Parts: sequence; structure tokens; C-alpha cells
Amino acid sequence: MAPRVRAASTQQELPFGVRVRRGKQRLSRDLKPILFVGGILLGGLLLYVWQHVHVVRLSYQLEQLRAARITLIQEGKALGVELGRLRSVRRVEEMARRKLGMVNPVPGQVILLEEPR
Amino acid sequence: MIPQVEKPPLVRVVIPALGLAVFLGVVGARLYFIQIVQHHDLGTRAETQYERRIPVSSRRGTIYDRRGRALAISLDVASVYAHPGLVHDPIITASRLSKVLNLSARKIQAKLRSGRPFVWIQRKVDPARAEAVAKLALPGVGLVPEGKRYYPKRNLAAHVIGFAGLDDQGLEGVELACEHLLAGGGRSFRGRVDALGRVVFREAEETRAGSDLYLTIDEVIQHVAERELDAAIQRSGAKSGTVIVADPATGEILALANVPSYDLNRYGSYSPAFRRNRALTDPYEPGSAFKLILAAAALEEGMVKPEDLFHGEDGVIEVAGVKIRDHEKYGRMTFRDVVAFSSNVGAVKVGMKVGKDLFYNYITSFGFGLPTGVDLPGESPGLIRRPGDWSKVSIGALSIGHEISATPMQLIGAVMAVANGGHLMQPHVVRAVHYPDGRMEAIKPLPVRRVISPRTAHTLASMLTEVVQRGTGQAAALPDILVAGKTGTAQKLDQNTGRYSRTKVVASFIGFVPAESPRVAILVLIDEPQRFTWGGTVAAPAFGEIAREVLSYLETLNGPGQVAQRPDEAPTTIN
Repeated sequence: MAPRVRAASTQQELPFGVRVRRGKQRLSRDLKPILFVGGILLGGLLLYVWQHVHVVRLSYQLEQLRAARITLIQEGKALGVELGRLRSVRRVEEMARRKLGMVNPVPGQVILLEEPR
Repeated sequence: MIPQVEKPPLVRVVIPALGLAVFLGVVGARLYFIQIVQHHDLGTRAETQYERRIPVSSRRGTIYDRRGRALAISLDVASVYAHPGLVHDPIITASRLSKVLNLSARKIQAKLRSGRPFVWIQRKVDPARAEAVAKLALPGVGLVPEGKRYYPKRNLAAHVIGFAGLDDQGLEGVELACEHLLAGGGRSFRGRVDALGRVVFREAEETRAGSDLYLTIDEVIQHVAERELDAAIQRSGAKSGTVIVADPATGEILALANVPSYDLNRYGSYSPAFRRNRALTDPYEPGSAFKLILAAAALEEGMVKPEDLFHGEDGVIEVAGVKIRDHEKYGRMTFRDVVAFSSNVGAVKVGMKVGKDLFYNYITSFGFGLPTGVDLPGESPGLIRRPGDWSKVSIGALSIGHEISATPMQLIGAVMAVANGGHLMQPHVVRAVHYPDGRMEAIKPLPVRRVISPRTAHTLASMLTEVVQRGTGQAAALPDILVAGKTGTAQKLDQNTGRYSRTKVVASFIGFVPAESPRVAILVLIDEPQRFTWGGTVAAPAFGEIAREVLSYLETLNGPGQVAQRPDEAPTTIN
């Protein structure tokens, strides 16, 4: 059976069954594990960098959410202040007297009933 | 022919390897130099560049009334600051800021040239201006959030609540007295920022929120007190006035109103005279209202009984050469009549029976001459001299409420003691503290001491109802509800002449309702009324109006016939 020789890029057959391998081919085979290990290391490095970038990105999002939360809390408080002002007994009484012409009830006009149980 | 096996030439392996080794060696050496040798210096520089102390929102506690209605609340607003060292052009910066903030460019420029590392340009600006400053993006100029105190009810209970200043620090009222509870611990956190100043990582936050306070004040009762005080002052043309409404069983102050008053949101626009809490800071001679203490002492010691007879001496009695007169001439009268018609002659005779040492003991036992301990700042102890310092006329003067100065708070304390069966209670305005960790601590009523027996208190209460039924305080009467009280009209000492003025008086009415099971004790004090100058004509009507509305409100709150229900048992809306 005729020997089969692998060329750098194609297979090559030589007489007397001698297999010939060019330098590039051997180098390629020797580099494989190095490339494999290097690839893993590089992948690990990229993963390490990615997770840092991801944490930073999440931190930005977190800060945005925090800011939005603070804004909403402040808006809620501001609305609470406005509500307190609008519901002020003095203001309500003044409106009742001036706009609606209401007066204080005289004794006997208010009859309280027990709440049915 | 044997084919030659191609071997890599030495030079192709060794030279790159050597080159790589040298390169790695250089990198390694540099890394060593940076990471090990220069670690400390570079680390410090990086920290100063990336680590910042970032201010956060204010956490000053909120103040609520007893039913959970907000009376004081903090909101974040922006303050404009500058680092003058980082400002590129102070003239242009000042000019642009002055247009936005409506400030003098010269003043801003002076601040920017001050040489200080940090200056405030304007504190607590409104949101529109803050946004405009942010849009300018001036180097060295920044905005920082600061808490601004808002008082949604404006004037309501102004002298109780007080106010917090620019630095969010309490300056008056509960805001000052409870600063340790309301104020938050810190107001910033350490964090890492990127080149644009955005926060990337935040480290442990150092903020500690302030506690919320629930006051004993009830907005509705407070409003009624303020409205009726305003009306009484307008009717009488008086200079000033005070109303206190309190729960005699607990010492809780349900309302405290002073006129003149002020808008808490604009406290800087008012002079200190408007901001003074006269109920605590202004002692006055209580006049006939003080006969309450005399009567308590006389009854408790068994020296006088309600039906004992006294002669009115046709309206005048001489004590150590000084004539003390009644406003009307009285003949024979019982001790009940002495109190009901506020006879000075009868009171002087009772005072002489009691004697100065015993009377002094009762005066101090009722809390006069010492601060009541109410949880508000600036309380005056009033003034009562020791018996050794009394003149021969002092026993007569004290029997009718002169030669002693007492604050309205001390008087309401004494009235509460009569109303609750004899216990002097410490008045207070803070009902509960809501801590940041969620704990709610209720402030318990604090009895100071027993001053009279329940029997004496009951007898005295029945005598005080006669003041309203047939005596000087008839204007305080309510239909179907028994009112107990005492009028007071005290001439004021004229600072110019050193004598008691004939025109300047303090008119007052103190009492409690319903007399048989007191729910509220009320004091009305009108200072220098120009019309209706008697306690019975100017203060008693205001007392009656306040009592009527407060009792009606409490009944509405607690259900039919439940006027006497304690507020603790009443439904509350505390959030």
C-alpha cells in the first residue's frame, strides 16, 4: 500500500512509504494544546472582564432606579404637603362658610346615632 | 532518496522567545513598580479621583398631629454651591448665575473670589431655578439636595410646632425641643463615581433617618381655639392672647394658641414678638383666677367650709394700710359666694386664715415658681417670693392673685389638678415617637404629685360650677352641660409709674367641662382688652364657644354620649 503523506495543506504521497511532514504542519500540531489552553485562559479573562462590565452596567441601572425612587418619594411627599394644605380645617371651614354659606349647627341640629352592629 | 525532515531553525524559536521574555520582563517590572512600589501613592490618587462623599436626601422626621395629619414635613430642594478653585472665569460665572438666580452678580463674584474651597451661592432654590443652573453646566458650580421644611397648615399650632432653619436644625417649638429625635444622623454616603460623576458603586450609607413625632395636638381643636381666640381679640381690641386646651386626665395639650401668631413657612418675615410662645414665656399676675389655689388650700386644710360665712365689709378691706376693694359691695356671704362672685374682701379674709406659710406650700405644690416641665423650649418658672420676703400686704395681694407671676401653662396645670381629682400632671405635647426601625413609643402621662384630695377637688369643682351658674362666669355656660371655671381680671403693673394701671388688665377664664366628668380643661387669656375688660365678659364667652365645639367634636369622634372617652381609646388614623 502506498504511503500517504500529508502536505501542509493537502495530502502528498512519496516513494518507499516515507512519510514526510513539513515544519508548519508539526508546529500546528504542537500549538494545538497551547492554543487550547490559551483559548481557555482568554475566555476566562473575557468572562472576568465581562462580569465587571456587567456589574458596572447594573450599578448604573441601580443608581437610575434609586434616583427614580427618590424622585417618586419626593413627589409623594410634595403631594402629601399639598393634600395637607388643601384639607386644612381652616381652609375647609372658610370655603364652607364663604362659598357654600354654611353655619355652625346649633345644639339639637346634630343628632348622633349608634352605628348598627 | 530520503526526504529531509524540515526542522525549525533555532533563530526562529529563540529570538521571538527571547523577545517575548524581554517584553514580559519589562511589563512585569512595570507592573511591580506600579502595583507594589507605587501602590500607596497611586491608590490614594485613584481614590481621590473616583471616591466621593455624595450627599443624599434629608431624613428629618415628620411631625403629625394626634390623628396622623402631617404638620411638618421635609422635602428635598436643591442648593447651589461653588468650588471657587475650579471656577474658570468668576466674572462670566457670576453673571450667568445672577440672571438665573436673581442675585447680585457682584455678590456672587465676591464669593467666587473669596479664596475659600467651598461657598454657597444660594440655599434651597425652587426647582425651576435649580434646573436652569444645572443646564448652565458651569465648571466649579454644582447643586446639592437639601431638606426643606414645609408646614402644610401654615399658622396652625405655630408656637407648638416651631420651625427648622436653613441647616435643617430646629430653632423653635417641638422642632427645637425634639431636635435629638427629629434630626437624622448623617446626610451622605461614600461612593465611586465615573468620569462623568455618575455613581457606579456605593459603599455603606451613613444616613440615619430621624424619628417621626405624633403630637398631642388635635388639628380640629387647635383650629377652634385659634379661631375663637382671634374672634375674642378682635371683639375686645386686645393686644394679645392665649388659649390652652388640655386633657386633665393625662396632661396632654390638645391645643395651644397664641395671638399674634405667624406663618411657619415664612418665619423669617416675622419679628420675635410674633414667634414668642406667650403661654410659656410670659408670666403674668393671674388675678382672681388664682383664688382657685387659695380655695383649694383652705378646703384641703379644713380651715374653711363652703358654707362658712364672711362679711363683705361693703367692698373694701385694709391690709397693712393698703385698701383692697371689691368691684361691688357685698354684705354677708358664704365661701361659695366668695368664689362665685370673686369677692376680693372675702378672699383676703380666707387668705389670712390659711396663713402665709401654708398658702406658700400650696402655691408651690401646685407648681408655681417652677417650670412645669412641658416638652417645649423657653419655659419661664414664673415668680413667687418666699414667705420670708413677703411684706405685710403680701398675703392679701396673693389671695387675689397679685404679687405672683405665673405662666398660662402653670395655670392650666393647676386647673387640670382640680379637674382630675387632685393630681398635678406634667403637661406635654409629644404623644408618641415613631422610630426609624418601626418601633412606636407612646409617651405616658406623668403625674407629678397629688396636691389635694379627691374630696377637696370634688367640692372645689362644685363651687366652680356656681361661678358659671350664678357668678361672674355666666357667659361661659353651655346648655345641658355643667361648666366649672373661674374668672380673672388682673390689673397690670405700669412700668412707668410702678403702680397698677387702671386701664391695662389681663382678663382670663380657666375651667373644665363637663364639670362632673371633666374631658377638657381650658384657659383663655386676653391681654389688654380695650372693650369688655372683665374676664367674665371677654374670656368667658370664648371659653364657652371653645368648650361647646370641642365637646361636640369629641362626641362626633367617639360616638353618642362618649364625650368622656379617652383619646387612646378613640379610633386613630396614625399611619
